[in-house]
Amino acid sequence: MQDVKGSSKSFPKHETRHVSEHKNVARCARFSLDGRFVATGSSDMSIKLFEVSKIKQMMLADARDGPVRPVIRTFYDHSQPINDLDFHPQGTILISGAKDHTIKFFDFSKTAAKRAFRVIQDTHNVRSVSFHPSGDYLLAGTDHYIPHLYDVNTFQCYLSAHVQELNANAAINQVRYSSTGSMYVTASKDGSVRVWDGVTAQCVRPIIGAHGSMEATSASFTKDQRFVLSCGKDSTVKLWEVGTGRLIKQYLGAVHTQLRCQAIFNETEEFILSIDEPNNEVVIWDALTAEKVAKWPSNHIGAPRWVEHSPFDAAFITCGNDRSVRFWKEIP
Amino acid sequence: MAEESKKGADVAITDIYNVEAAEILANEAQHLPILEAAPIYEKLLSTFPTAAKYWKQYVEAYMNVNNDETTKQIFSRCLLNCLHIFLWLCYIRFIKKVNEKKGAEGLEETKKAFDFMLSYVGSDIASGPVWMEYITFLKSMPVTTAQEESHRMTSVRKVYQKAIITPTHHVEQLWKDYENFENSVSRALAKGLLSEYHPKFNSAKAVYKERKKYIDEIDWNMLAVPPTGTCKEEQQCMAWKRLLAFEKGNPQRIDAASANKRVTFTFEQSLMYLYHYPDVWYDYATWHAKSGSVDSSVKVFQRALKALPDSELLKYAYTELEESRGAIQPAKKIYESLLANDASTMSLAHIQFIRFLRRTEGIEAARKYFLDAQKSPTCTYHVFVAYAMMAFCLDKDSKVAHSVFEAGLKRFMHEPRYILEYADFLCRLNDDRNVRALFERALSSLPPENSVEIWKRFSQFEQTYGDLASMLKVEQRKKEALSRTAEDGSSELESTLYDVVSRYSFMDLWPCSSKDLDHLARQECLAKNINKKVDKSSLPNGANIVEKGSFGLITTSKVGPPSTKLVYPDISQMVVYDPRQAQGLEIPAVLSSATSTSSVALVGSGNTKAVDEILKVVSPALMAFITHLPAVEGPSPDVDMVLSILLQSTTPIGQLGKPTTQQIPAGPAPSTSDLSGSSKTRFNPNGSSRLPREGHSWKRKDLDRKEDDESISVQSRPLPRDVFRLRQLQRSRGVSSSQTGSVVSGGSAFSGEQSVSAD
Repeated sequence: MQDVKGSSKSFPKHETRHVSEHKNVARCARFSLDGRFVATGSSDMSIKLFEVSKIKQMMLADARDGPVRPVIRTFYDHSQPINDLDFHPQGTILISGAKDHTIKFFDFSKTAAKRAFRVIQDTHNVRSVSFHPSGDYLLAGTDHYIPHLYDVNTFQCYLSAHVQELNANAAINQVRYSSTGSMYVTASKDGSVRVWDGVTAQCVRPIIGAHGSMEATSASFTKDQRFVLSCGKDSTVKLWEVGTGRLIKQYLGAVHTQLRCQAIFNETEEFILSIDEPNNEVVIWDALTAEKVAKWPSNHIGAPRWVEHSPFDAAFITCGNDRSVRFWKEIP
Repeated sequence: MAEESKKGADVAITDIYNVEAAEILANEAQHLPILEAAPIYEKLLSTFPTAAKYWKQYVEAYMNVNNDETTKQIFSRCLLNCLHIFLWLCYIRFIKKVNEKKGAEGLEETKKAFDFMLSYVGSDIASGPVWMEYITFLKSMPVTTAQEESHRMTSVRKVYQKAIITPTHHVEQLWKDYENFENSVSRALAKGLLSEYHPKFNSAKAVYKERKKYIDEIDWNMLAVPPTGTCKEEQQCMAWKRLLAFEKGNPQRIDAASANKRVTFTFEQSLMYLYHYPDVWYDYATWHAKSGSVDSSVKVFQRALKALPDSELLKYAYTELEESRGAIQPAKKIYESLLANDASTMSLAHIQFIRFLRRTEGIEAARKYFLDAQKSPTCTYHVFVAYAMMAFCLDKDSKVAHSVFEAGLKRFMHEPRYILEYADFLCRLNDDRNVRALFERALSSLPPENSVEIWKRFSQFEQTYGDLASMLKVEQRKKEALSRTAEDGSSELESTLYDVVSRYSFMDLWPCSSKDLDHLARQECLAKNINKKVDKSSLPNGANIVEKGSFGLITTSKVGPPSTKLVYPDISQMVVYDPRQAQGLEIPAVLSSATSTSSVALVGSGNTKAVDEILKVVSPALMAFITHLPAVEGPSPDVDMVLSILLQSTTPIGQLGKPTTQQIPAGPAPSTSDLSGSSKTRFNPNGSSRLPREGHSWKRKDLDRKEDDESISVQSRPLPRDVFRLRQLQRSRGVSSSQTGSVVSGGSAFSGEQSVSAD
């Protein structure tokens, strides 16, 4: 990664479209691993599941073949706003973590089901959920400072046995597994980012003060598991080397101090996307040169709360306080 | 201090380019008397010969003790390589001091030194003060005659005129000074001169603004270390290259000579920091060559090789330059230094040198050298191939080439690539009999695992030169020979349609579509696996497989693991968290779901049995107690409220005293729960905290408002303390109305039915 020098690549132009609207603030979004589905969760306690191909069809058609409805399911089961979503890596299961201290399992292969078929009751506000790549386990990041590991089949909850030396007490804003499950990363309210061993649940790479004393709001691995991308309320986006804990790159120039801002890679990991709150823009950097390559008005009313990129297509989704969900895709 | 310096020295031994260690050493040297510090400085500077800050420290140390001779010596060693303004300021201070008391001669010396300095670093962005100092110095020169006075004035004017077209931090200040100066000399003349120079000053000012942006990105404190690929290094390298590109563009549109001088200056400065970057040296040298001064280019290469003695690439680049300008002897010398390198790169050096000799001194010299070189034991087959091809292609002498190949074959019979090159050569001669003989010879001596490529070339050769029979025969032999090496040989033996494709395609023309090809390849791949056990992981998996009917969490994950190697958590190394997650403690959850008529039942989950068992175990009193516990939102219950409810409850008191007093006040909130917590005594607060439905009375507007404030959690809502209200609450939930009933309904809800008796 370090060898590449030279000027930044340019991020292809995207078209964007309002695809749906919640009854209240849209708080989070997640794509399925194969990029076929995307789900959004809202303060109205509902979850909407979209089929990406239908969204694309909708963007193409423009009332020619009648209205296309991209929302294929809506789930109402939580009693408080949804914080995070994840798809089962193989099955047709969607899970959601919410402020009501629960993690709920929805099976979207059944057309009629609106409610969860399984519930995990946690002790804390569930801020983030992430499936193990096998789908047999899931991690919950909560107001508790240690990630909760659940065995999906028994619902048994496990914690790291080595938390005494951890010296942490801040809530976890985000937890994400790496692609093989060998590690997971957490972003905490105290501004630290921690990398944990997926086998022993030991914290193997604490990056204390990764974002100073401001909250770290997102953290995720690159596909090769060598780097972690984190974002914080100190208005920085940072790339860390997992092996050494070194700061490799910083992506500056986007201000995000209010919301649980996300910084994400595009599907090729050549670019990084995040949000500039005061200007209400989607900001894109070249991942290698750390140069800002694009700033697009988000078209939301008020800055988007969440941005999520498809793991598969040149497409991403934003949602925000204006309750709307916008889909972005590369203009072919 | 002493310890620190020792550490610095220790590290310096293992990694001479350790920057921190160098800083520690330099710091230490600063506090030592100069005689002791000198060896440290010498050592540092041999590692970082372009570190202006160390040179400055070093020379200042000598200046402080007034050792003028050594000071001069050190300056002569560093000044021209370190175009760093602060080091040069030090120099001018020294010169001024030395010449202070020498009268007119001293003044002349100082003037020369100023001229010298400004010719080297006069275009530095921070050189403004130097220009000013020089002007003040010139103005202060004593004059006696009018002629001298006018001479002095002219020289001051000249310096001003140079200074105001140099884009420095002080260019505006200098312009004002110049205006004053001209006005003070002669108002009449001033107007013309100033209007002539004003546009030049303006462009310098504009360029300064641009230039400053580039220069601000540069860290002037970095030490020159070999590139390690860190982010900072990369950034600095790019910053320098941007600055260089800027200067090369001659933004100020000044004459070529001055512009070149500025580019040279920038290159020199960049090399202080990018001393170990061969690409910068090369850029510098080629820039010189391009701008017409090959001599300077040669000098740069020589310095580059001093800086990077191990860089073969630079050596080749240098010989190229020398050779292209016809300087054969210097080029030869460089080749000789290349040939003195270690054996691993020897062959390439031999080859390049033979080619060089062939170009510059003719066939005979090349031949002689080849004969010498091939005697060396480290000479590889590459040299033979290179020389033979040279004889064949350049000298058009196929006989010599043939005999060279033949001579080499004795030595390199075991090198498949040599055989292939030889065969290629023979093919070019159309000597198909010898090609066949060569292939046969090679194949009989090479082990099959090394002969794959030869077989391939052999069958290709037969396709071009042979008839159908020989073609098929070689193909068959190839299969037989190679099947011995492959593990699953049997299927390889049969000829497939795939082989026909490979025989009947030509260049990029194929006898079938790419789709057919994919299909064939896939078939072949599948056929290969026919005999192996059917491996499940080779089945295509992914989200397309949807296990319908049975709930997929357990089944899908077991059947179709993704092909990448997954790492699983080892739960034996972890702590089981939270008693509620243990089986028996599902009870309150069941109650809650039952009372709130939600369908959050654990349909088909394996927990039903376990819970039933627990229910059997728990005593009726405890069960009554459990059902009595109030609903609590958030991690910790309101103690007063719990107590008040328990006091009013009608459950048999006998066994209840303990749990209430133990649990409620002492029981930690789940958010702070100790991890080792055994499960027995703590389910009550937890259980009660899982009645999320209570929050339903919230208005959505409420939610909106609190949306962003994550910290406002439910418990901050005050619970009613009024006992009456509490009772109402309970009744409305139906908990207290029938204890046994609710338990029963809990049990049934668990098995997936929606019978809710309590409501």
